[in-house]
Amino acid sequence: MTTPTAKPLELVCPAGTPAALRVAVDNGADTVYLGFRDETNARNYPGLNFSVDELADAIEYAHPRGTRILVAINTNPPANNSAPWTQAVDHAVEAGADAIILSDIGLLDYAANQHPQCRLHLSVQAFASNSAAVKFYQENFGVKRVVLPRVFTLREIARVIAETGIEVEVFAFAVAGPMAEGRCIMSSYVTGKSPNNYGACSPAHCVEYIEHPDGHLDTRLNKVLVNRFERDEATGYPTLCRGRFQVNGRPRYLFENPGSLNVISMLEQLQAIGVTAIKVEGRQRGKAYIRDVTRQFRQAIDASNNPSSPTDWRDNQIAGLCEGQESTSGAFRKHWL
Amino acid sequence: MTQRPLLALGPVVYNWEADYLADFYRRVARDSCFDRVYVGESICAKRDKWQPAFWRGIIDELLDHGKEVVYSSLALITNHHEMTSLDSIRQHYPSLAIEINDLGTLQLLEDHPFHVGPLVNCYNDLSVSYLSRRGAKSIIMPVETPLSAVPALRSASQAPLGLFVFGRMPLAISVRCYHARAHDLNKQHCQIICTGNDDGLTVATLEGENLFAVNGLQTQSFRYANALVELNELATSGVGVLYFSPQAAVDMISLAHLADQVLQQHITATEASQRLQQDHPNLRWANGYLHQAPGMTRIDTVSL
Repeated sequence: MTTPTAKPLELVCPAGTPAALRVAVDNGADTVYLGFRDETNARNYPGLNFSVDELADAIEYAHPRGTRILVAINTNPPANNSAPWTQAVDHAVEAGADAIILSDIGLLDYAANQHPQCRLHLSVQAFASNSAAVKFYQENFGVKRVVLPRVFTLREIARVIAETGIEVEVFAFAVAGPMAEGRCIMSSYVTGKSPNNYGACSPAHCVEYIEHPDGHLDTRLNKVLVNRFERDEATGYPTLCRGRFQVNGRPRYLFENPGSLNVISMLEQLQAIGVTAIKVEGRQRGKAYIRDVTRQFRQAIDASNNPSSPTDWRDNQIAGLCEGQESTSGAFRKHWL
Repeated sequence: MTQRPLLALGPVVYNWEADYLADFYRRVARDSCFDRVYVGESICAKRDKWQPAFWRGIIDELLDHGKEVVYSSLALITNHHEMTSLDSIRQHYPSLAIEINDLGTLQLLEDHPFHVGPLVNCYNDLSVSYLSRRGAKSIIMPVETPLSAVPALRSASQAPLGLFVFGRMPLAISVRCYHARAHDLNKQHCQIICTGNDDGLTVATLEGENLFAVNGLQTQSFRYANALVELNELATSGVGVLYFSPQAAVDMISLAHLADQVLQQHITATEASQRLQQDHPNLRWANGYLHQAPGMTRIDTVSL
C-alpha cells in the first residue's frame, strides 16, 4: 500500500541519441540519463551517445519541459590516462547537467573537489552492495543518490534508506546481468578491452558470427567460441556471461539464463519503503522501445498514486520488450540466488 | 640499487580443507621466503574457514616466524552479518592490518590500518592518490594493470604499489554461486560444494577450450598469471609488492624461493620461468594484461 507521505517515484529513462531523448521527454520521463560519445560511459557502442554540443541541446530541450538531465561518466579511467574522464566531468558541469553519475573513486574525488556545487550520483558500476559502502560514498564525496545493484531485497533497501538517508534509485526494467556490475573483466581476459575502462563488453570489432553449411551458427569473441546455435534456435550477441559453456563435459548456460528484470508490479512497495527513483535500462535501444517503456511506467506510477485506478492491468504489458522474453524480479525475490 | 620488492602471499581464495590449509600455512611460516602473508576468507562467508577462531593459530605461528600478516576481508558484502565479519578478529588483534576488497570495509574500519586488495577498483592515478591519502599501507593494483603504467601510478602514491604476479586471475564476482549452479544447487542450499576443487572448477567452451575456473561466487581465469619473466622489470619500475595468489597445483614455497633467486640475481628470470614450466608441463600460463594484451595471452618477452 502507498503511504500518504511517500513521494511518487521519479521515472529515470535512458537516451542513446538526441531523438531518443526527445521521445523520453515527450512520453513522461521525469529524468533522462545519457553519456558522452566515448569510453567515459558504460554504453560505449558505435553510433550512440552525445557530443558536448548535443548535451547542451538536450538540456535546452529538457529543462523547459521540466525534465532533468543526468550525465553518466561511469567507467574507470585507465592506469595512465585520466584526462578524458576529468574533462568529461568538467564538460557535463559546464553544460548545466542536473547531476553526474560516477563510479570511479578517483573521479569522484576529483569531482567533489573541483565542482563542489555539482550533484553527484553513484553509478551501479560502483556496486555499492551494503550500507557501509553507501555511507563511504556519501561521507567522502557527498554523493546524494545511489543506484543500488539488484542484489538487495526490499527489506535491505529499506534498511539502507533508514541508515543513510540517501536517495535510492533502483532498476525497474533491465537485463538482469549475472555478475556484480563494474567487477567483471571476463571480456578483457578474452579481448584485451576492459569493460571498466572501455565502456563495453564484447566490443563489436572482436565479434564474429560464423554460419555453417548444416545451418548451425557459431558466435565467437576474439576467436573464442561463446555459443553455438542450432538452425532454428534464437541467437544472441556473444557476451561471455551469457554464453554457453561446459562444466564436466555438460553444456549449459552456466552464468545466466537469458532473462530480464521488470518491477512494474512492485511500484507501490518501492514507493512505500522510500525509494526515490526507478531506472529504465536501455541507452542502446531504439525510439520505439523508449516510447513504449517510458509511457507504460509513466502510467503505472501515475496509477499507483491514484487510489481510484484499477491495479490489475500492469503486469506484463511490456513483457514482450524484455530481451530474452522471460522476466524476473531479480534478487528482490531471494530464489534468484 | 633498487630495494627488493616484498614477496607477498595473497589469501587462499579456494575452500581448502582445514587441515590442508593449516599444513600449508605451517610450511609458509617455517620454510618460505614470503615476507608478507595474507590470511582469511575473501570469497564466500558460508565457508567454514571463515570462522575467526580458525585463523588465530595460523596468525600466531606466522607472526612468530617473523612474517608480516594481513587479514583479508570479503570481496562482496551484501548483508549485515557479512558487515560484522571483522569484529572478532579486530578485537583479538587490534593492530593487525586488514586487506580491503570492498570499499564498504574501508568505511567500517575507520582508522584501522589497511591494505588495498586487487579486487578493489583502483585503476588509475586519481584513485591511487585518493587511497594513499586515506592511509593505505600498500595498494595491490587490479590484474588488468599494465607494466607501462607503473611509473605514473607510483608517482601518484605515497603507499607501495603491488602487482598480481602469480595465480588464477580474478575476473568476476557475483552474488550468485556458479559452483553451486554447476551442480544444480543454489547458493542457499549449496552443500559447500566448492570444497574439493582446490584450484577451482574448470569451465570450457563448447569446443573444449578451457577458458575459466569457477570458485564459488568468483570466476577466475583458467590460465595462471605468471610474471616470473618480468620480475626484474617489475622491481626496477618501482613495484614494491609482488602478490602471489596461492594455488594447489604449484608448490608456493618453491615458487617464492625461485622468485627470490631471480631478484637476488642468482638465476635469470628466464631460467626461473623455464624451471617452473618444466615442473608443471600441464599448466597454462598468461601474462597478457601486463603488456596491454588480452589477459589470456602469453607473451614471450624474452624474445622481444
